[in-house]
Amino acid sequence: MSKPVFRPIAPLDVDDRQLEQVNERLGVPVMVRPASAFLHRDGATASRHAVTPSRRQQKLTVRIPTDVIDALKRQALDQRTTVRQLVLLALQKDGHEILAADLLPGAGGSE
Amino acid sequence: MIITLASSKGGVGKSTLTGCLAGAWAAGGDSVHIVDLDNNRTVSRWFADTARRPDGLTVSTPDPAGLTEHLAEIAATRAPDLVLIDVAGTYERALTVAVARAHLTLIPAAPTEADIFEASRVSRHISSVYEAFGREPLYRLILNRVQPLSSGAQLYATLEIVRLRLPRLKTRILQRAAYEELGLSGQPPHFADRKRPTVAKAIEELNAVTADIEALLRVHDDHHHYLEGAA
Repeated sequence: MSKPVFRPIAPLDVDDRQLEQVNERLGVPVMVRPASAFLHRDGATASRHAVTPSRRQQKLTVRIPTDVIDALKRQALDQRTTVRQLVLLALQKDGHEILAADLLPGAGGSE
Repeated sequence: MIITLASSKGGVGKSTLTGCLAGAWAAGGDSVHIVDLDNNRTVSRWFADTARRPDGLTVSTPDPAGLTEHLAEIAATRAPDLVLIDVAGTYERALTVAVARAHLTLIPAAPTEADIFEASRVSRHISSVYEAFGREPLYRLILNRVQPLSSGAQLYATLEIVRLRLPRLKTRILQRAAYEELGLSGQPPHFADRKRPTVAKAIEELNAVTADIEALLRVHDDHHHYLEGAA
């Protein structure tokens, strides 16, 4: 009696381009993700920006040019995000400490 | 070893199961890394508190488009015993890459029409991806959130799994408070108070699941070595 021949089970040894071709052929949809600052690549960074219990949030009203407001609203719409998140991301880029929890939808209360 | 927890719908308990299984292996002394691909960042949020997070457990939240590179980076820098990938609960392209990179894919599903329908869809997708490269996939449905008091509908749903020929793990995960508490406490059952009956039962169940998985992977690994020896 011959022994059955089994195939090795292991992850596919193919590159992402080949998998993308399979996705195309199978018609798998592409998910559009919102611009997000909490897509951290490693555990350490993720911990630093980890979601902690929300910090106290307060309203700040400033007067800025209407054109800038319109541009911000358009950008928010294009990126499927909020004006608040765009402002916080810009502040984060400028060195202010903005936690992942601050960026979560609804973290600022009613906007 | 890489295990992907996949579903094309939300609410099947994927993140909860990911966190609980990670806790079970971490409690056994394994180093476990969770790759959180879910946009909601649920599992990474639960384990955000490093003071409460089990030792040996790390989490990352990469851009799903860079998953392959990220896994290579994790292997090179951390070399964990196990990597668990929690994918977004939608039918989308990152799912293909996550199942292609896994040694085993688990498809959690409650015994409901909606969950089993989607599990069947994911099963077909995994098969299609592997067939494209002339390979056979290794995946199992895992019955999750099973009601302790069985109903006719639940029994029917289980029979549908058989009819659809969806391979499943022997052990079922029951609906228990200990699992749901992970989100609030940040502690998987293995790190919670074992004196509580719900925690003790959850630990017993999770140990049975990890034993099922390890046996499954060992069997396939043995076949692999057998083939290597024959070559």
